[in-house]
Amino acid sequence: MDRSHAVVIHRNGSQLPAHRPEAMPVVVTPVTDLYEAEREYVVRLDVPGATRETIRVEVQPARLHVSADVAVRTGADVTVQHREIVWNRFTRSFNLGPGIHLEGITAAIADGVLTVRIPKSEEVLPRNIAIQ
Amino acid sequence: MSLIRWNPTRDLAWPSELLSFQREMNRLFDTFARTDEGASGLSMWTPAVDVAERNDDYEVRLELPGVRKEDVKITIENNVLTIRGEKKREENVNENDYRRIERSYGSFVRSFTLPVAVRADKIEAKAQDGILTVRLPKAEEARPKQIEVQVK
Repeated sequence: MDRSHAVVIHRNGSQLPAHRPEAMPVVVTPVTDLYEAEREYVVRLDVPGATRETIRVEVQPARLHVSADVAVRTGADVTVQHREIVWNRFTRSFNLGPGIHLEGITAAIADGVLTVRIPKSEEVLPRNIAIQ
Repeated sequence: MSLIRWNPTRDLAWPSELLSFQREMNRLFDTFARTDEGASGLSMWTPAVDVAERNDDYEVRLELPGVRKEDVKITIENNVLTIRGEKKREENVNENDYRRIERSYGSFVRSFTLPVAVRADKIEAKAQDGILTVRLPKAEEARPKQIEVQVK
């Protein structure tokens, strides 16, 4: 078997080069959960392989944009037996409506999950009215 | 029940824009279709995996974002490697407060038959940034060897 380049061997026998040229990023959309808490919205994205250094979270007045590059395994001495992880970039954008405190948006990443907390703005937070 | 994983590189002959759109649509549907009721009633999902073979070992990588080390179990028996575990939901969130749920959760299991014998006692597993990497050193007799043949 020629081991000088990695091949992908599928069950149906077709062979494709596993190496992708750098000019062609393979982009996928990370799956996302969103829930509403009393004082904030919480967005959770699955971005396995992304780290604090490789992920970018951008906030614009009406948009939240998340992107991350992840490393794809290739190697001169590797024969790929089975490949399902073919993507090397995560990208997703969210529209932000009114009632959001933009400057207070925070993000944290752990174990390949990015958590973005979007605080609600003062006007929409529930206020208790004291009864005289 | 067997779920056949859709292979995104099968249609590489297509123009790249059509390919990426089709891949994206298929992947989004695939994500929803993969969640299934297992026999035990717990929801099941299928993590994506790469298997690579090198001269001295195999490397198996699984995408397990948000899965804790304690919730993963790796076993090997008769050259069949099995990785099973559970991805748990955040506990302090009321179901009614969710506005969107796309991420899979619940139990998962993937098995691989390794074509070559491996040293079961030297298997290493590492979890980092949501990717589980399992390294399986090949048994001594299974490594490729250069044999010199004398030509008479």
